[in-house]
Parts: sequence; C-alpha cells; structure tokens
Amino acid sequence: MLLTERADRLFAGMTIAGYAIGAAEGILYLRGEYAYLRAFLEDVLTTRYRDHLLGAAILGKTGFDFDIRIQMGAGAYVCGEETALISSCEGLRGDPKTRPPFPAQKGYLGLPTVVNNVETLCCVPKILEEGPATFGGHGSPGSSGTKLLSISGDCSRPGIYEVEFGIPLTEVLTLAGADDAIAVQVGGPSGQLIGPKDYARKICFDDLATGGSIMTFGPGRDVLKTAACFMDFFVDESCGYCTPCRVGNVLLKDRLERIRAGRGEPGDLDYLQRLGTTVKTASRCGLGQTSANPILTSLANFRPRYEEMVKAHQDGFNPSFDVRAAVSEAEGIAGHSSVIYPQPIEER
Amino acid sequence: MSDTVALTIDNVQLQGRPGQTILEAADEAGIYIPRLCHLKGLQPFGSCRVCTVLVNGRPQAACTQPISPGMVIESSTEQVREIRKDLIDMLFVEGNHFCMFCERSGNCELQAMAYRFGISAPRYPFLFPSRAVDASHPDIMIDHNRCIRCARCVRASRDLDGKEVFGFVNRGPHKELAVNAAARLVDTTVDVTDQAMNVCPVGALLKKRTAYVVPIGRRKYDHTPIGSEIEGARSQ
Amino acid sequence: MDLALPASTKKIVIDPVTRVEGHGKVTILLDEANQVVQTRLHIVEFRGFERFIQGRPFWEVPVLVQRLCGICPVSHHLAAAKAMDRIVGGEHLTPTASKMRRLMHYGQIFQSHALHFFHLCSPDLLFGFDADVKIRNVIGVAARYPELAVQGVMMRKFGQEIIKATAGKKIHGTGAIPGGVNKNLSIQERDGFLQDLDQMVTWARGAVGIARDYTVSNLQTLAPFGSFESSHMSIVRNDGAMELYDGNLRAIDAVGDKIFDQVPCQEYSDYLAEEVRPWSYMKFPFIRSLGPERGWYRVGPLARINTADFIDTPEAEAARREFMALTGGKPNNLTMAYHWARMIESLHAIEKIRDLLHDHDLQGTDLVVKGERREEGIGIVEAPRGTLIHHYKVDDQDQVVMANLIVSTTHNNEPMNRAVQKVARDYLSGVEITEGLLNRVEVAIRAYDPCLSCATHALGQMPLTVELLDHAGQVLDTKST
Repeated sequence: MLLTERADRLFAGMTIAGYAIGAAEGILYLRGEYAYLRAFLEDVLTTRYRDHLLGAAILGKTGFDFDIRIQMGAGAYVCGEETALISSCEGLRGDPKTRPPFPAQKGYLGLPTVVNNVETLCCVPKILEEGPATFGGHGSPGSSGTKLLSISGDCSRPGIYEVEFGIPLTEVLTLAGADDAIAVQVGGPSGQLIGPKDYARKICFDDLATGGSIMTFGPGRDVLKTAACFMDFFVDESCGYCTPCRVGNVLLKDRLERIRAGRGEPGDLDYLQRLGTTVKTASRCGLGQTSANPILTSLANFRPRYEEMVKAHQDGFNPSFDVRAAVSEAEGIAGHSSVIYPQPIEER
Repeated sequence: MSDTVALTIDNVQLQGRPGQTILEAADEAGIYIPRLCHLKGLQPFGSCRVCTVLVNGRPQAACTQPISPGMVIESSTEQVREIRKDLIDMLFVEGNHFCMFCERSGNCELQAMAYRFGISAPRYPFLFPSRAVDASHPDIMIDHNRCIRCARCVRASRDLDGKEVFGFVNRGPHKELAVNAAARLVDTTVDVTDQAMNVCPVGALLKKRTAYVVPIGRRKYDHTPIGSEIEGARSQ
Repeated sequence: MDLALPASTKKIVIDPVTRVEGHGKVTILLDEANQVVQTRLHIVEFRGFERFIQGRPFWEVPVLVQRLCGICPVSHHLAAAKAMDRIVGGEHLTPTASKMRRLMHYGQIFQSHALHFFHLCSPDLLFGFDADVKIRNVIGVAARYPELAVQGVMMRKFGQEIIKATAGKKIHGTGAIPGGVNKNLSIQERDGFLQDLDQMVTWARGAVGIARDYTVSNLQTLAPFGSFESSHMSIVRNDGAMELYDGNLRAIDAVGDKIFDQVPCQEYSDYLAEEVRPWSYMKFPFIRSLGPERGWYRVGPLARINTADFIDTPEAEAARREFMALTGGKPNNLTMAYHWARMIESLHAIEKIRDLLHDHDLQGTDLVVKGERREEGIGIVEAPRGTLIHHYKVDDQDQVVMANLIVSTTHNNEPMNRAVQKVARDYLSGVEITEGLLNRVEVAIRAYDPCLSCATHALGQMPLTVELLDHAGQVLDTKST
C-alpha cells in the first residue's frame, strides 16, 4: 500500500537517509510478486530525477548526489532477511551472509550499507516535516508513532489499518470485526499464535511485536492445522544453508502431521519442544531462529489441544507406524502381497 | 590495539590474537570445538552449526564469530552438547548414511563425530530421501546420499583450485550439491588431483576405486576420537 | 520381556518378522482321508539386496552384500570379491592375497560349523528330539556338558579371531577388495594363532567322533528321518579334491553318477536355472538338463563330501573314508548325516588353517592386482551351508546394473521342503500338530540350515509356525515354536 499510495514519500525518505549517512546509491528491492508495480515506481523515480530530487547535486546542493535503482527479486521469504537481501542484490543465491561483519560494516558489494523497511523510511519525511515531538506524541513508551496493520483471516472487516503503537489486541480485533477469534497469529508466520487470554496485550515492540501482520482465526478453526500450514511455509522458504533450519523444520512438521493424523503419543510434546528449541537456538539467521514459533507458541498457548491428540491409548499401544505402507514398496518389487501382513491389521 | 585478546572458554582463560575466530583461538589453545563444515585453509562457512557455542549466553557459530575481549564462552556444557547432538542427528537422518558399508567408514568426520558424542542411533526418524549417484566421471564419483551440504568442495574448488566446479541448487530440504555443467560431473573441469577432492568430510565426493584399501585398524579414527589432534596439542 | 498391561489389553500377534534371517512358516495340507498331500516351507522374508544394490559402485559390493547374513558374512564377502576380481581383471590374485582370503574363508567355515553344531544342533542330539525345550537349548548343554559347551565357544572364537585378523573385524569386515586384499598377516598375529592351533585340531577331531558315534549308534532312527534320495552339487578342485574357496562345479545324482563336472563358475547359468513359485519369496534352482521337476539337488557339507573324490588334508580324508564306508562308497542321502559331514569339514578347515599359518606368503606385501576391465563377474564359493553364487553386471561408470545371488539356503529350498514333507508324513497323527511333530520339523530344517533356526535354542523360541490345513483349505491347527 505504501508503494502504491506513498511511493514518493518512500523515495524522499531514502534520499534523506542517503544524505544522512553519506551514501550515493539507494536500492529498492522489489519481490518478484510485485513486478507489476515496477513501471509505476520507475515513473515516480523519473519524475524525481526531472525535479532534481535525485541524481547529481540534488536541489542544487553540491556534493549531494544520490541515485535510486530498483532491484527485482525472484520471490523468496528469506530475502526479507537483510543479508540475504544483499546477497540477492549482488546477483548471488539468496542466502543470508555470515555476521559479523554486519551490513553497516560491510554490506552490499562489501560497502557499508543500511537496510530499512519501506514503512520506516516513509516515516522519515514526516518526522522532518512535523518534528520529532509530534511523532513521539503518538504511540507508547518505547514504541513511538503509528503502525500499519494488515488484518486478515476470519474477520468481517479485513484490511490495512493505521493504529497507534500500544493499542491492545482486543481493540484491533473489534476494529476488524473479529471479536469471536479463538486464536490470533501476530507478526506473520514467524510471530506467535496467541489465544483469548492474551488479547489484552498491547501491539508494541515490548509486548506483541509485529511487522504488521495480524491473522485471525474464528471458531471451528484447528490451531494444529494453522501451525502445520506455517511449518509448511517455513520448510518451503528455508534457504537450506544451515542444518537446524533445513532439517529441523522438516522433522517438526512431520511430527506435527503425525499428531494431526491421530498417530501421536504423549512423548511427542517434549519432542517438539526440544527440537523447536534447538532450531531456534542454533539456526544461522532470523528465519530459522523464528521458524519453530508456530509450534512453540501454539504448544505454549494451546497445549490442551495437543494433549487431546496425543493421549495414551487405553490398551497401552499407540501405533505410530503404518506397517502396510511400509511393506507396500517391497510388495511391488516382489510382485505379490506380504505373507505376514496380507491385509490391514485389525482396527482397534 | 593490543596484540592479544583475553577470553575464557569453559572457564579456561586464554589469549587469542585480534582477527581470530573463536574456533581458531580455541584450536591454538588446544581446546577442541567440534565442527564439520569448517576446515582449516578454507573460508569459514558456518552451515553445519555443530560448532555452536554460547557467547555471554548467546548462541554463535565459533567458526565465524570473531573473538573480542572479555568473551565468556561455553562450549562443553550439557546444554551446548545437547544442541550439537541434535545437529549431528539431523545430518544423519537427512541423508542416507549407511556407515556399515560406506567406504569412508573409519575416516568419516560425521561418523567420528557421532562416536565422540556417544550417538549410536539418532533420536530423530530417518527421512530416507531419494538421492542420486553421479558416477559419470572416470575417476570421481558423487554420492548425493551422503552429502551434508558443508560446501567444503564448493569452497576448495573456487578458492584453491580456481575452478568453481561445485555449487548449490534449490533451497530448504531440497538444497543440493550441483556441478558446473548441464548435468554431469564428467562435463566439468574437475580433476582427481584437485584440492577439492581431498576435503569432503563424509563419503559424498569420492575418488573411484580407492575404497577399503586401508584396513580396519589403520583408519583415521580407529583408535583416537576426532578432535584428538587438537586436544593433543594442549597437553604437550 | 514381560510387560504388565491392563486387563483389557488386546494382544496383536505379529509373526516373528523381526528376525528376518530366521522366519519360517510351514503349511501341511491334508486330503479328505486326512493324509498329508502337500507340505510347504514358506520363506516369507523379503531381502531386496539384488534390487537395492543396483546403482552402487562395484567396489562397495563385497562390503555391502555381506550384510545378508550375520553368521556367514565372510562367504558373501568373498563370493562378491571374487566376482569383482573379474570386473577389475584381477582374478589371478597374488599368493598373499589368495592365501589371506583362504585363511579368512577357512576361519569362517570353522567358526560357523562350530556354531551350527555345538550351539544350535547339539541340544537336539544330546537331549533327544522330544526333550523339554527348557533343557534342549545351549544353556542346557552348558549345564550338563560344560566341557563340550566350552569347546564350542572356544572353537568359534578361534575362527572369529582368524576372520578379524584377515578382514579387520569379526563380523562384516573389509579385508577382500577387488583384485586382492587390504592387509597381510603379521608375525605377531600368526604366532597368536599358532599357540592355540593344536588344541583346535584336537577338539575338531573330537567333534568328528561325537558326530560319527551319534550317527552310527542311532542309525535306525536317523536313517529314515527326513531322508530321501537326491542329487548333490558343489565346487571341486581340478583333480576332484574337496574345494571350498575356488573350484569348478560338479553335480552327481543319488547313486554318484556325474550330471556335470568341472564346469567353470562363469558358466553356471548354462547349467542351473531358477524357478519362481508364488507361495515363497525364495526361488527354486534346478539343473537345466533335468528340468524343474527332477533337477533339484542338495548343497552343503553332505553334498560336498559326496561330490569330492578325496580331501587333501590327511585327517579329514581319513574321516571322509570312514563316512563313505557307511554307504559303501555311494552317496550318502541321510539328512541327519549332514552333522557328521559338517564336522569332517571342520577338521579339514583347521588342517588348512594350520598349513596356511606356516606359509610365509601370508606375510607378503604384494596385495592387489588389476587387469583388463570386464562388465560381468561371477564369484562362487562353498559357504558353510553350501554353494554360494554371486553374479553381477557393472556398467562403464562402475555402477552395478544387475545382481543375482543364489545362496545355499536357496539351493536347499526343495530339499528342505522334502525333508519337512517326509517328517510330516512320518510323524503326523490325526489332525493335530503335536509338540513332537513341531520339534521334528525344526530338527530337519536345522540339519540344513541354522539360518532358519538361529534364534531357536539360544533364545528358547524358534521363529517357526506350522499350520495344518484340511482338503478345503480350512485351518485345522496352528502352532508356533
């Protein structure tokens, strides 16, 4: 929305940032999914060059040279991670880089680089126009200003809302028409899945942090399915560079799917907790460090739902293994059915 | 700038040199921090995460993290050991590592690491992926079943051989080693004398027809665990 | 392990599938007059080695395929290595390589026969077929005949140490590589074996005596037990001597006439074929010239003693002559004579080991040869339980594209079925499976192959199920050991 409605302000913010740090070049990294915006954004840039708001000696000020170009990405979640974004800009695989050095030390092509998101840069012209006091007058202590929330899911009024930092989640839900939500995902897939007992908490950096994504889930939704969908997402979006994220997310998802299929056992909850913690602790970048959150936060906030699915069976047998599926390939090779398991084991 | 950097690893005080990574400083001090993707002489990569340590309580990869004065590092605490065991387990279940007939058995760093950590069977279920073997080259073979994506061959070919024979394609669990050719190893400029041929920690990149020539009992890790060469330096 | 489960527990009975090497099921089919019309020994495990070895590099094969078995892995290791010798054009091994492999092989024969005889079969022989299974096991032997039990253990250990010295490990080593071996025998290793050698020869001699005396003194009972006339096959040396590691194929009929002789191993498939039957995973090999109906044969110790013209070690040769005298020089067709034959081979193996240990070639350093690369290789050895055939094709990228393994148990498939059928006809009374019948089925199978009974005495339960069916196919009775 900022790109379509306030592109000019974004580029102004970038130019000011360039001036502040003494940079000569700015890059707008545009995901492949937004390729349709490119022509429009190029037009805005052309206009700014024409008006001497970009290029050499901006507004006649000698030495204030600043160019902006648009870098198209191929569409990968991990390229939202700042060092992966830089790799992608450099024409490399969208893998995160080793830190240190941090981008501010050695970033794009080895040069000091600041990476900020569109919303932050759009705030810059407003702060300069209206003064920091006005900006600071909005929001809550530690989280100045306003925040754009993209609210979706089971709600009667989905959309993009600008709210003041510090707003309680209940108010957000009321705004969007989601008062009956049984669960809310705050902060996108890498955020947290919370339940009604936490709805009084506030949207701000110190409490419920979010890049802007709020997803609401109404009655009838299964939080395990929600978590599973997000794990699918992370398995798909991991760059595969480091072991815990590449392998751990698959293991987490497989076990969650087993639980969902009714083949769980009580020990599975500790298994998920342990594995999730390792992925969180040992992963190399922010993606992996947060990829276990769908499971870890749903496990913390919706534990009874998990417990219900992993109850010990009365007879002491919790079948986690499908023997028919296991022998089917061998049967195919042998050309006849298993002598020992000719048909499914008697259903309990 | 001082020419030494004081830090502690597992309550041992040591002096590193500016610009060293934690792993380099520890190696010099005779403290072994387990690692798989790291190899002396190659650019640090930080993919396996087995060298994870806690630096002032925060997890970091020792192979990429530079030392700084006053760092308090935990490497062999129970918490860190458990994380490493998880990572080693993950590397086993991710591929098809059949030590019992693998020609690198006894010389394999992954296997040796499992022994060092007392892992006899991984705690995670095997994923049994379907992976290919590229035996197209007359002298070299890639068994993708055993690749742990450590990029040692990628780095050695690029930085030591000046060839860029190897790279990665795809992402997430589908990430895999690829060669700089339309499809097959035989179509690349790789040669059996390349330095890249000597760096694979597992049995993925192999010189053909050299298997099992060293008898059991004389293989690299038959008598001393991996890391002994570094720990041995300390006792001397 | 006994688990205390709630009273509502429903037990899921899973056939003893976990011991893949030892799972068997026997069905006995009766006619309307309740006479046995058919018995079948179903080998229900599926191994899949021939399939999953495809695509693997050829040098991996000797190490990989030996995982087929935990009792006789050396046989698979060597048969595959011999096939791979052909692939690398290295079939003319150096003296050191050839003798190291032979030493490994004789060590294997010695330890496996000791296991088979002392641990698995001696309970049947010492306590009788009908003795309580609680006593009729290796622990029972140890309690009643402690000296014998110790001998068995020590003989097996000696063989295992030989294997370790030649292959690197007691089980699943890596000693044989295409075109040779990866180590020689050090003086120190050799001298260690020489210390125990005389004791081993003495015990092996004694074991021949035990098996002979048992057979001769129980001949009335044993002669008909699971017995039938059959052809016999093995490899033999160029001069007709018994040969266990490297020779040519010979097959004789029940009266000793040769069906084929001195057939080079590479031509085995011109003389042998395999038939698939839908009720068993195991194929049925047969001699082509006789056809699938009549072409079946026996392999293993009994067959080898029958096919060989002589044995080239003196004590074993004397024992062979005594054995053949029982049947007037004609082939011996007694199923229970396998045990006696096995102990003669055990004596032969230790005599061979003795000769080899005194041969300085074992300390040579020329270990590997190579020659012209081939795309097909066949390796045949005489494994403890019989002829073992490994046949591979390898493409120009060094990957296996075809594998065919005919193991001893497969050659003996039809004979074991016959033995079980004979026992069923002789000992089934009524429409009920008695303990006596069950025990005898076990004993008959075990004469051929401990691989179908390796867990039996050791753990007290044999992974064997016998099912009795009436003429309409209805199950009348089923019993598991």
